[in-house]
Amino acid sequence: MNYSRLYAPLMKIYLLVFFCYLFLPLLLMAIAAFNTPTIPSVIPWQGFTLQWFTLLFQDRLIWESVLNSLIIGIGVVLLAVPIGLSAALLLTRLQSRSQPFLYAILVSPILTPGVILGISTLIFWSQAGIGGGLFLTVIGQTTFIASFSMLIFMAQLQRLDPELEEAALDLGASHLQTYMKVIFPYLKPTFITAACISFLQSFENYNTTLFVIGADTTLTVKIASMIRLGLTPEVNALSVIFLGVTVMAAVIYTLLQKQEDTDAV
Amino acid sequence: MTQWQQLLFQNGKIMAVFMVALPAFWLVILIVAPQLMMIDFSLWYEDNVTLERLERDISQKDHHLFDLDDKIANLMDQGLSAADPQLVSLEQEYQLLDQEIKQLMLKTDDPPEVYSPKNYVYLAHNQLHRTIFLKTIWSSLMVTLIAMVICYPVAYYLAQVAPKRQATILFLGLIIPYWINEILRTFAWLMLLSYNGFINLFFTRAGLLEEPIEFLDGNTGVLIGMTYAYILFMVFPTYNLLQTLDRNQIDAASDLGAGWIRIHLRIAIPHAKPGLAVGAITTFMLAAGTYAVPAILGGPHSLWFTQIIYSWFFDGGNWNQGAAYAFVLLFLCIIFVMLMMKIFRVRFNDITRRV
Repeated sequence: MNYSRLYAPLMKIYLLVFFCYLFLPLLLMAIAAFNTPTIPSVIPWQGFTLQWFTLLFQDRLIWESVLNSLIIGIGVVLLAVPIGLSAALLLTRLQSRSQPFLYAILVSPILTPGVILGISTLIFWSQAGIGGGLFLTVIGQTTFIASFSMLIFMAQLQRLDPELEEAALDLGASHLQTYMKVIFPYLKPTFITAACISFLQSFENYNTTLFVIGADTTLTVKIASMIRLGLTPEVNALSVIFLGVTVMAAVIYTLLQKQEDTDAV
Repeated sequence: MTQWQQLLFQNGKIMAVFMVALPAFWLVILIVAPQLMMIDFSLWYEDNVTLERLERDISQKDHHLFDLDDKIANLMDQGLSAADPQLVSLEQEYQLLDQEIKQLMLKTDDPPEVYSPKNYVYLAHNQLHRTIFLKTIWSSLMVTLIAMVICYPVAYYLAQVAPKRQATILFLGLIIPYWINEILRTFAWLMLLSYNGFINLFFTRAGLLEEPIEFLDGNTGVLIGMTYAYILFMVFPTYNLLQTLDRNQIDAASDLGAGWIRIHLRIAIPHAKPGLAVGAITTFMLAAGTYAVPAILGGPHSLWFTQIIYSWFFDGGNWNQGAAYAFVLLFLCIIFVMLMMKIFRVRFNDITRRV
């Protein structure tokens, strides 16, 4: 392959630049968490400190926002996973010409800007006298997170061998028993994936949350307001924690993925 | 047997109810009804002229009521008995007026709603908002195009060229920034681009810059930040499609003498079309709908359309106007989806199946 010999070095440089572009900003953000000045910065370097972490852990408002994020995240998981599962079952089993249309509508929240979902939720529930807050945030986020959950379940359901189900029914299991003893156990890892993705999506969400959170605050909303009003390296300290958790999660995910590949072979 | 009876027959009562009730709740209460309500809101306004007239009316009547009250009190002071006809008629007048005021007050609680396209006309006639809307379209298109150009080679390399081990590591390198909070990714660029930020300090100290550049005064910072924040949404769909491209097709084309550029133009890119379309739609939607990036990286002179929408809701207190602006944004995204379907010659289902 002559083209690969010609373009391989160019490609290497391109990739190097691309990954530097991806990682250098994050790296600088993390390094600034350990620098002394009260404005987040890397140069000039004025000495190593851990005081921003100490301040962060003492900041009561941040922990309150973390608690809110957790509550909302759990609420979203409890709603989005069952909804996603039921919709995935419906769409894989409904023999109807309206199926593609239904599918399109149920996926559309993913293709809708988050602010629109927040706004429409806010308007709709205000008619029932329910204003912004934790409950409305759960509702607003579930609108699109249920779509992700549905897609995850659908992918797995399409791989389900229909004979398994037929065998269970032939052997005298009731429909409910078939679900409880065959289909749901088969979907067990999918439940975990759907719950994790739903929780993460909820935890990180900003654009939808902004419109439905009311006077409360979530961690993401709190970080944004810290950046805009009264920026301190506490934000950088937080980013170090986020980076650490993300790197770990990504490594675990990659290892699991690899295991799955070798299992499949 | 209808499709629904079949569903019942094949899954049992409990599961059939579960499979219909929950999606129905989601579809109606969470997705469709709120959108319709938003559109409804965008089509009417509170008639403030009538409202003001009502309020003037009430205050006049209130004055009258006070006068009456005074008069009654005076007459009582003069020693008139409560049964005196003059006092009784005044008392009656007082009661009537009081009732009338209460009824008018009820009306102001529920101001008259007038259906008209006024909220949309307002946007069309407001030059500043119109300019910002056009800027949002233009910038989102630019971000989408830049992301596509930058990401295609990376996606191709990962899917077709990289050895398996290397691909795994590079993939990890894509996931980590992809999973980092959007706010933090934007904040990272605030540190780089601000007046006393890393880039300015680095280059002035190295003697390459005479004086710092104001990245954050206009739209430059917002564009850089948006590209960075949403670029990875282009990589993954493109990668997914290119991964399904049979290596033999490329080899065959190469054996038959096709050059590097031709292989991409005739084989790889056409194959990746649905992925490119999904990537473009997602990136455009995120860029046009972002609130975080302009809020953090935009200067006072670089308002974004989403920021105007936000202020209609929370600073201006005119939800109807805000709903109209929101619908315009949604409509823009729908148009973009249709445009992508046309350009990449894919059907809607090709797109939704790749999300």
